[in-house]
Amino acid sequence: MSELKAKGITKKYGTKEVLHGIDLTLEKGKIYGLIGRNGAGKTTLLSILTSQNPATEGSVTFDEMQVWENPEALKHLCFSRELNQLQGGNANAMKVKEYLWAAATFFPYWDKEMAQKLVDIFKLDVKQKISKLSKGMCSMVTIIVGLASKAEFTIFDEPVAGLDVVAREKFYEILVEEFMETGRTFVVSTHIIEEASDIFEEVILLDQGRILLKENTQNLLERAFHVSGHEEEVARAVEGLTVHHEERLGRSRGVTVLLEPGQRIGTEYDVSVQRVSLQKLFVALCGEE
Amino acid sequence: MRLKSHLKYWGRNAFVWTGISLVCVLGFWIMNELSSAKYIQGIGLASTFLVYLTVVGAFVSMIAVISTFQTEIPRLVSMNVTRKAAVWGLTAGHAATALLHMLLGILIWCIFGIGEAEMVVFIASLITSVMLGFGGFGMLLGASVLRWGKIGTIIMAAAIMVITIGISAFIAMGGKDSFRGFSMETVAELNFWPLALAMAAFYLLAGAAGFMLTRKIEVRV
Repeated sequence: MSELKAKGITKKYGTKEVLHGIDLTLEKGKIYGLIGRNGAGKTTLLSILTSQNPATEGSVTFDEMQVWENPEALKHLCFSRELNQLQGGNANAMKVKEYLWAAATFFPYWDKEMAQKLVDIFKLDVKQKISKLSKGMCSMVTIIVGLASKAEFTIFDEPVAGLDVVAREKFYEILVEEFMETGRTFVVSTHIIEEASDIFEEVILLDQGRILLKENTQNLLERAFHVSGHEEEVARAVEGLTVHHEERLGRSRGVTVLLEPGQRIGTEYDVSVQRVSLQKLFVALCGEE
Repeated sequence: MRLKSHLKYWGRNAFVWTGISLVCVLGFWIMNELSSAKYIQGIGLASTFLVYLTVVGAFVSMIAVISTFQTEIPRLVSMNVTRKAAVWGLTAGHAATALLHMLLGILIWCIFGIGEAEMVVFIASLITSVMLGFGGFGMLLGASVLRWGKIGTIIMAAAIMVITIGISAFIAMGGKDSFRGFSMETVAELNFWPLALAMAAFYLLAGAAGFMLTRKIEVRV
């Protein structure tokens, strides 16, 4: 089975280390969600996975082939990221249709019909210059490139930035449809967690340059709970458990816990136990106290 | 390397830049004809075109290559082209642009000149020398900008300033006599082929240097 594997990935900018020895394996036929705070290293990691940024240490392989500067490996990958509306400090004068032509020229499995269909769905004016596009329309261009590339492993970095809710829903719908039809692997990095969490088979949480967790989304959410009530009752109910987030209001207390195998919440105490959404879990794990 | 994709992409670029040159040449010629103070006098129409084409070709070479490094290389790498293939594609693409300019120059001379074979050979060698020389220079500057960002831009600006000051100083010192004695017949007696070969070698070395400078750049498009 095809795998995109990162081993010991470290990235430094000068003396500042932004990724710390990351090991990550992405398997074929899954939709991964990559979430993390601003500056966590998501884009850096994704760009290293696709040879657009050299790692300081470590290696990335696709089916045992080195990815760095290797066309044989790269043809199976696509990194679709936010378009820069400036080029070298000047406005990007390229038109959308020229950009798509370039993409069609170099992505070996490019699906021209799919690209045209997506242009029609998003009602994109292909004669517009990229510098004149709104943020949402720029996102549409990157979505079209990612989907029409038909790459086995396609990575979207914040694909829905600037998109209205209708366009976002359309993107998720098309993504899932494409996944069901082709079994391509998608990695979606997003800040709009609540909307996208339903489509993630696995979630990867990146925090301060390290992978906090990588787990099947359903399994993860089944062991994440919010326990609330009187502070003494809550303390007894979660004794021995790691508390990731805490709220207090007078003598009431609410905590978020992530159960490890064999652990349980003391439901015999007078507390309220509720499941936690992926977004709330992310805030609990990565938010500052 | 997917050769067909590169031929398609860089071939298109070569025709676009050649078209830009042709438009500039026509524009300069019209300006010169309409102006009361003729910039270039006393030479025939074909020669005028060739002078313009050589000058424009020089600027196109340098500016096009610098611009391509800043815009096209990152874009291509973002589309999974390796840095090596992107830089060598640019090198080959600009060489194709030089070839098109050379053919254009020969065509202009054959249409408007008296079509002497020696002149055709001279035109080919002159335009090749100029375009590959300036193209190689543009390669080094463009790669510097891509590699070193703001510092590279400063290096580029300083280099262009030195060239401009040098040319201006040369003309200022010589005054109106700077180009006295310039005639196609006189200049055509010179053999530019050794220079053309030297510039071709410089161009290839500049391409290699451009790759060495950019082989590990981080790409953000």
